[in-house]
Amino acid sequence: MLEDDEPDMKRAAAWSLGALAGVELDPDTLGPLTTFGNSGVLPSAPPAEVLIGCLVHLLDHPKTRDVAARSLAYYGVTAIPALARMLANRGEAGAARDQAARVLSTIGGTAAAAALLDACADPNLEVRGTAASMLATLRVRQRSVSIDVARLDDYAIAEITECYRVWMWAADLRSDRDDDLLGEALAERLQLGLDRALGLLQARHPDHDLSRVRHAPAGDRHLQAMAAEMLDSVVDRRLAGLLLPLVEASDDRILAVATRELDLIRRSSNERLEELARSEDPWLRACALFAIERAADPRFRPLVFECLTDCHDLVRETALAACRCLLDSERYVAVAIEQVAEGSFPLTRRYAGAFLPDVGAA
Amino acid sequence: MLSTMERVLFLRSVEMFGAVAGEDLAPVAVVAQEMSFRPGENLVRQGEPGEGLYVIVDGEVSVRIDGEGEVAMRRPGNVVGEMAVLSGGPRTASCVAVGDVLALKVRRDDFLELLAERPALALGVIAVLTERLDEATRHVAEARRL
Repeated sequence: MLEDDEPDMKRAAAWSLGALAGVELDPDTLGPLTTFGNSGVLPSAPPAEVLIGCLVHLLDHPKTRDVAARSLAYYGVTAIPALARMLANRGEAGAARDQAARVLSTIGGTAAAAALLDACADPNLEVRGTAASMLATLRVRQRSVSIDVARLDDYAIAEITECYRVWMWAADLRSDRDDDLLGEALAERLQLGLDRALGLLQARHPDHDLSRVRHAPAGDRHLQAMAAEMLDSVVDRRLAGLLLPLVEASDDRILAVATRELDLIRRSSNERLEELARSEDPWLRACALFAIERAADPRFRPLVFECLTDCHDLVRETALAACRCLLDSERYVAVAIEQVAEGSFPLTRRYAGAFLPDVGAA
Repeated sequence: MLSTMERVLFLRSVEMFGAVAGEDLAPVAVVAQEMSFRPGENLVRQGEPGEGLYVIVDGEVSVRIDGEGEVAMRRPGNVVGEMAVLSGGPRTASCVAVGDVLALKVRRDDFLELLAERPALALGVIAVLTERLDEATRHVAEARRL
C-alpha cells in the first residue's frame, strides 16, 4: 500500500501505521518496510523505529503529509528523535520540516521543546516561523517543560534586529507603484519577523498572553497602550524597548532605534536593490530583479548578468527577463541560448525558449 | 510569453487571488499554462468535468447555459471554470471566446495540490468565495422581497 500509485491507498497505509503504535510486533513481519523510503533506519532497529521511519518519509509527500503527522503523534516520545532529525535536515522540503515541527509540539516534553528551539535559528524563514509558533504552543500547554531561556532571548533579539533591517530596506526603497512586489514582500517579511519574535517571547513567558500585543490595532490608542504596558511589565527591558516601536509601527521611533541602537545605515534605493538582489532570500532576490527590470536602468547590467547564474530557477528567469529590457536583441539572443542549453532550470529554459523565435525573426 | 513575476503581478489583480500575497501566488504562476483561443472557441463546455480553471489575461469570454443563452461576460482579471474545479462536479456553463482570448490555465490537480500545500493561498481563495456567497445570498434575499 505504501508503494501504491493511488494516494488514497498511501493515506490508508499511513493511517494503519499509526494504528500500530504501541502494538508489539515481530521484527520478522516488517519485511519491505525496513527499506521503504531509504529512511536510514537499520533493518535491525526496533519495529516502532522502522514504522516511524516510514511515516517520517511520508511527511515528504503532500498527499500523505497530514495523515502521517497524525499517525506519528500516536508514537509519542518514541518518534521525537526521527522528527527532530527531519526538522533539522536543511536538505528536506520546508513543508515536511514544518509538519515535523507541528508533530513535535503535539507530542510535547523537554526533548521536543529542545528540537523546536534549535529550529528557531534555522535559515529557512518558514521553518523558523513554525518552530517559534509551535514552541510557544507547547510551552503554553506544558509550562513545566524546561527550556534554555537565554537562547530564547538571543533568538528574539536576532528576529527583532532582522525586523529593523527589513524596515530600513523598505524605507529606503519606498515606492507607490502598483507593481511593487518588492515592497509587498518586505512588508510581509516584517510582519512574519514580528510573529516569530513574539512567538519566541510567548515561549519565554508562557504565563502571559502576548497575542494581545500582536493583535492590538495600530489605530487603537487604548489597546496599543495596554499592549505596551504588558510588554514593559513582562519582557526584559531591552527587548521591550526594541520591540515597542515595531509593534506600534511608529516610523520615527523605528528609525531612531535602527540608526542609534542597531547601527543600521540608510542607503539609496539603487544600493538597496543591489543588496536585495544578492540577499539570501530567493523571493526577495526575484522581487529586486523584477523591480530592476521595471526600472530598465542600464547601471544594473553587471548585477543582472551575475544573477543569470543564480541557483534558484525563479531568480534566473527574472534576471533573464530583465536582460530583455537591458540588452539589444543580438546580445539577448546570445544570453537566452546559453540559458536554453543549461538544462537544470526549467522555468528559465521555458522563458528563454519562448522568445528565441520572435527575436530571431526580428 | 509572460515571465513568472509578470504572471504573479497579474494574478494579484485577479479578484479570486486578491487576498493572497505575491509569494504564495508564485507557485500558481509557475504551474499556469498560457493558452490562446480564437473567436468562438470553447474554454470550457457545460457538462464536462472541471479539469482546470482559466484566468482571462486578454479578451472577452461569454458564459452560456444550454437553453438560456448568454448569462454573463467575463473580462481580463476574471476567472472562469473555478467552481467545477473546487466542487469536483461537471461544468455548469460553457465559456466561449468572443474575440481572441489569452488565458492562464491552472490544472485542477495542480490547483488542489497548491491549496493543500499553501494555507495562505487556500485562505485567500476561501475569503473571496465567502464574499461571493454572501453577495449571492443578499441578491436572493432582495429578489424574494420584490
